[in-house]
Amino acid sequence: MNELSLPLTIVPSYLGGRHPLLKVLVGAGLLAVFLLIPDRTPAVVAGKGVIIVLLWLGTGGFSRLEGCFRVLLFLFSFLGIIFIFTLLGDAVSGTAGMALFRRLAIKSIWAATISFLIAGAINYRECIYLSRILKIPSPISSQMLLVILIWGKLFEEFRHVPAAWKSRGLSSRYLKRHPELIARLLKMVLLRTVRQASRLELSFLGRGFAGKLYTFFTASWSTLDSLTLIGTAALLLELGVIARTGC
Amino acid sequence: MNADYELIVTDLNFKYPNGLTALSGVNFRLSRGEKVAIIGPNGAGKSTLLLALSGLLRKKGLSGTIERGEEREEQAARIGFLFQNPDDQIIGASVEDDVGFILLREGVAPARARLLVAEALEQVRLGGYQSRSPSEMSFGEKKRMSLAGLLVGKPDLIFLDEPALGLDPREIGQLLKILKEMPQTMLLASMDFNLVLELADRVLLLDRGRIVSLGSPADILSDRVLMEKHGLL
Repeated sequence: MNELSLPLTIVPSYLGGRHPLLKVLVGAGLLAVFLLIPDRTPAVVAGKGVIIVLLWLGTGGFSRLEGCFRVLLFLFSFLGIIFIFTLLGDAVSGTAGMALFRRLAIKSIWAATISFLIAGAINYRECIYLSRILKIPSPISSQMLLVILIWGKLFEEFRHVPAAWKSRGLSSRYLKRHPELIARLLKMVLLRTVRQASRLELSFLGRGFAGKLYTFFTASWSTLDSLTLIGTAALLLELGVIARTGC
Repeated sequence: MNADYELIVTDLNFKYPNGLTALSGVNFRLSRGEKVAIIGPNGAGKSTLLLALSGLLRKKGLSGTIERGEEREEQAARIGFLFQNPDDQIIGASVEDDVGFILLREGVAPARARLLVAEALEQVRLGGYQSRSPSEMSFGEKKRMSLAGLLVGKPDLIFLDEPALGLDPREIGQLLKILKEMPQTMLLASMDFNLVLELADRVLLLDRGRIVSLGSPADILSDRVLMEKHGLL
């Protein structure tokens, strides 16, 4: 999200400047098609890769490279854990199990990359606006929006951790030798976030919050939005053709 | 309730769940338009007192009576609370959204709300900041923005928790000027004695949850024995 810390901080971009509804439609369309079309042939994988690169360029390009890298690194470490459990587990070991793992791993990478790129092109004000135009019931939308707000605070707290380590003379090598310290630091970050969250709650209450969030932001659908939607649909259709014909 | 008073506090007590007493037998009256500063050492109960009076403190553990001026339907609209740390207060993704929250909540038309937001921002010397993201602003600017967020609600009573904390001398000067111009009744907790001396009509010295002294800023701040006794000098 915009206004939040890395890795989700974004820069002005082509898709970032489009109508929020378009971003949701593009994101939903990409996710649906990428997850439904199997990655059987190299041509399909290459086609999906091209679309991801276009999406990446349209949502900030090189300035988001570091963020993309961090997200993928996180995902790979997560997949690494699943891989180890796949190897250790009786039920999914063997060729079929590994094939399932491969399929799940590729789909997870697609889904995480698309979600990360699209989420980084939608800012908090647009989320409030979207919840209004999509008529999402306020108890649900407010909960989601508040979670985003708290996540922002959590990111902020985490951003201060390296400086706090260094200020106490704790090097990463020292932390590797004393892993119990990491758990203690994480506890501190979470406690501080809870404290900040309760302050935010007071701030909301102090302003008469009654379960609804507001924004001045409004948007109108432009010709460029229609063209982007048509372009995305054409690309996804092309992907479908590649999957069907195999080339 | 006497119409001359904005706030009458009688025998206010507060205990934390762990049994620690934060406020004990607090009694005082706040006249309309009066600016009263609460001073006291760290842990004296200044912030707790402000939270209790603003209605933001949970009711459990709180006893005593707090009478306010003429009752309005929307209590939140007539009370403003400025937190020590503006990051605790900001709930909008842009200055405009944050400052205009109360107005949009009250159903004010967006065009009118925009005008009122612009006025409030002008009042705190942040004219033209509407589309900025709070994350791009300095600590002092965020503090003034939070103040603007209170002012748009046209509160009668404002609580300020350490308004000068974290500000440089120039920012304190700007803030002081803004606060002096405000006609509202004000209760502020502050350790900045210069600000207190310049702004407050009366000073309330709080220690260990009790009011130790209540009087004019010049009298209390110049009483070396009293100030030393309570760890303020």
